[in-house]
Amino acid sequence: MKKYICMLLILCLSVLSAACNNKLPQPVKSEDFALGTIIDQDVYGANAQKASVEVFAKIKELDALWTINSPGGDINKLNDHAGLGYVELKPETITILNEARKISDLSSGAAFDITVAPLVKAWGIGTDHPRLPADNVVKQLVSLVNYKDIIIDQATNSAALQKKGQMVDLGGIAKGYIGDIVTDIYKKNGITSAVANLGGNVVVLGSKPDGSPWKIGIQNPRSETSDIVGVVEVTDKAVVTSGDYQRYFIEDGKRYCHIIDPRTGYPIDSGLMSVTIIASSSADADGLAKAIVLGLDKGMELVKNYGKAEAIFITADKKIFVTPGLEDKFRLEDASHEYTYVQNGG
Amino acid sequence: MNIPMFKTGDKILIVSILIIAVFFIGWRSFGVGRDQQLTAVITQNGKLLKQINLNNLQAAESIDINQPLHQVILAEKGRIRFSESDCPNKICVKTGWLTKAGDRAVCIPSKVVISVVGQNQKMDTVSY
Repeated sequence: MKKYICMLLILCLSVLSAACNNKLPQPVKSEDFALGTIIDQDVYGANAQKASVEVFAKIKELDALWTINSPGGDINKLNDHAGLGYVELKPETITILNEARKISDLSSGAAFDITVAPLVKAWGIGTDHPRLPADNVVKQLVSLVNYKDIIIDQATNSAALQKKGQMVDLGGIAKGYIGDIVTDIYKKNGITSAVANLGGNVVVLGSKPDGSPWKIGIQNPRSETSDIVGVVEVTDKAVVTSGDYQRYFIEDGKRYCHIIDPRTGYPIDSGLMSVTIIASSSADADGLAKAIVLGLDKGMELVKNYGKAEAIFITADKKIFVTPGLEDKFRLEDASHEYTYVQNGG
Repeated sequence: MNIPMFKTGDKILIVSILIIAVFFIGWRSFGVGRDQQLTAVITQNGKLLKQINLNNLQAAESIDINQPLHQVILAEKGRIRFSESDCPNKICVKTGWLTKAGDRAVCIPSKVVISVVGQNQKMDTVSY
């Protein structure tokens, strides 16, 4: 009988220790400011500290190279030289320009075109004084928008903009593209579990240390606070959202958002408030999120044609459409009770 | 029913271990979740400025930030917010009260962040 008592004791003790010992490994948490936004990381593992530091250093290096908001850097060099032939650029810049061309090709430039910069400037987007430009100015600047006018000479690491006045702005792709570089840095350091948030662009590596998927909140597009409308569970993915709410201004009662339709030159008015893309490539996810320009039907078609992404579309009448592959991974968590979840959106 | 193989001492031992185990599991699953501790962490440029336990706050507390611009953070029992800011777009002030674990207000121009941390966070991060 003593044997049974011993077994019972061991059983109870193991239950007890399981109840007490469920402490998980703690991540190295860090935040910093770059790319005009806030960047957060939660990194697990032995090299977490080193990898986090490396990530911030790389982001700042690329930010300086690609920003058009401060002097110097490759993109300013390219823009200043528009219509004047080739300029030599860093190999990283040539790579992102190639990538941007590929992403523009997905929608033939209808959703995403990195040469929309002259219009972004005319509307004063990203400045403290956004404004409504004259119709004829918009018309003239739209004629300058064409990503196919970026000519790249791979052999000499050079690029050119064909017409004078043309400008490239990587603002719509840099965060997404850098997201892939961030996960590469984690992998290089032997990290298997991490999440990074680059101003709303999320990349996750692996799953959480307990093996469960990462839970990513999807912003409520009409909430000034950090309220969400739902949660999506992901492993080894990028989650990128494009919304009409991040920056906007109101003039004569009309709301103008920061995303310019490259075909019309005017801020989008597509019936969508936000598009979230979940894909393995963060750069592609960022590009595909510009489906917000196209509206629900054409936007969903773009995602379908790409074939390797899932999406959450939120319409102006507060309906949430989710692609079939997400149905068991997306959960409505809408404290405002204003949104309707429409299944089988794709 | 009496099982002669168990002595009284054995029975007491088994029952008490079971009671302790049940109590522990119950405490782990429900106790901590109900009495959630909310802590506000205020950082500037990644460095910790102040940490406030929002549950234990008896009187309202106001924190002035003067560099690189003037801002006021207001903490009350269970909540905290940016109440004033000289930044251009005032996104930080518009964020309003932060009341639950995972809530966050960010001021990009001043690089000041208020994060509310605690157990029971519904998500790991937010895509916006």
